[in-house]
Amino acid sequence: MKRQLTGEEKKAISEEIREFLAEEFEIDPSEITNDTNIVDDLGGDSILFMEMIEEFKEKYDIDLEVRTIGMYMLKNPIYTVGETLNAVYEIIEKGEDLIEEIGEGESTVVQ
Amino acid sequence: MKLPQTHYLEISAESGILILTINNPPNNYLSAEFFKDLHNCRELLLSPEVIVVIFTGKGKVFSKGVDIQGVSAQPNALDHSMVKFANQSFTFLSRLEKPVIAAINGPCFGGGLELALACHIRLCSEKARLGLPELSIGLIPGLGGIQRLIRVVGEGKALEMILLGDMISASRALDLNLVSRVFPKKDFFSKALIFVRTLISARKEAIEEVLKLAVLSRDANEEDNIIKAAESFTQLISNTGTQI
Repeated sequence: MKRQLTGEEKKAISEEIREFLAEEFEIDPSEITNDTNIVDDLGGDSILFMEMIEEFKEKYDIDLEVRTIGMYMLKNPIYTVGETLNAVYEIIEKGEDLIEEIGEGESTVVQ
Repeated sequence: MKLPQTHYLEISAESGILILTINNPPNNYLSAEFFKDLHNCRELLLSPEVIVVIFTGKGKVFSKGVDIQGVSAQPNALDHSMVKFANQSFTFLSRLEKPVIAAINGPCFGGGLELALACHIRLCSEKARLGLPELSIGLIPGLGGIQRLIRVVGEGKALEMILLGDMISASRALDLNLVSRVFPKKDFFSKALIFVRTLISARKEAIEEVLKLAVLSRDANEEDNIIKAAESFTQLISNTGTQI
């Protein structure tokens, strides 16, 4: 079901993501900007994004399987915090509509 | 007690408690060198001076398994002989006649969870997530994860976790009996140690007997099936170009 996040909701999500990353990498949230690269600057990996979505699933009523999030990431590679925020907004806003958009069932991971 | 020289496994021992810390931070990936280190610990693991073994991870992660990106760069690093060697080590652990405990201090995925499943008991930090995400990259769990997860949580839940690549929370893992206790992140290891000390306060011979009987109660074909899974894993990794 589609929903539209308000500016305030986006701000709250942005703060939560910065706090999540700050706790994960033991740094001050103020050190994290939209341009911070999660892999190169923080030492994170692709699994971290999926862990983060799992953390927010209940709170933001995200009714998607990890597999769908993984496929989304294959189609929309995420490197920076800014890209992460946009991806989280899109995932929350599109919800189950994302499944059709991604085209679940397509084999996109194996050549 | 003579401790072997290892790098990817940090070893400490006190009062019969052997602590093996996966030492490849931040993600504690399991490399070929890790499995060689684990193999080099065999004599120590069998030592009568060791009463209980604890596996944990350095830093905030237990282990995120095998570094598939690293394997893509060096395909020979995970060939069939290496996978077989790794499986022998995990099976060796699962058959030890002394308690082997996984103290899961943080994220525990893929081969990391397969190591934890080879342990007798799993203790978990409240913030940890667990899963076998191999299918998301076109592979299967190749270190006994399929067989042991089915044994621990039942076929239905195990297949759901594996086929969907679920990443479950510590509380969900407790509900599924995948872990035995969940402790707060803040004092996780001290709580785990209290649990372990309580566990080994029973008569040593009785503990050994229970663990021998536990092995007997397993499916007689479990080890053969693990070898078959390892063969499938290496076929999949060599026959397909896995994209990360």
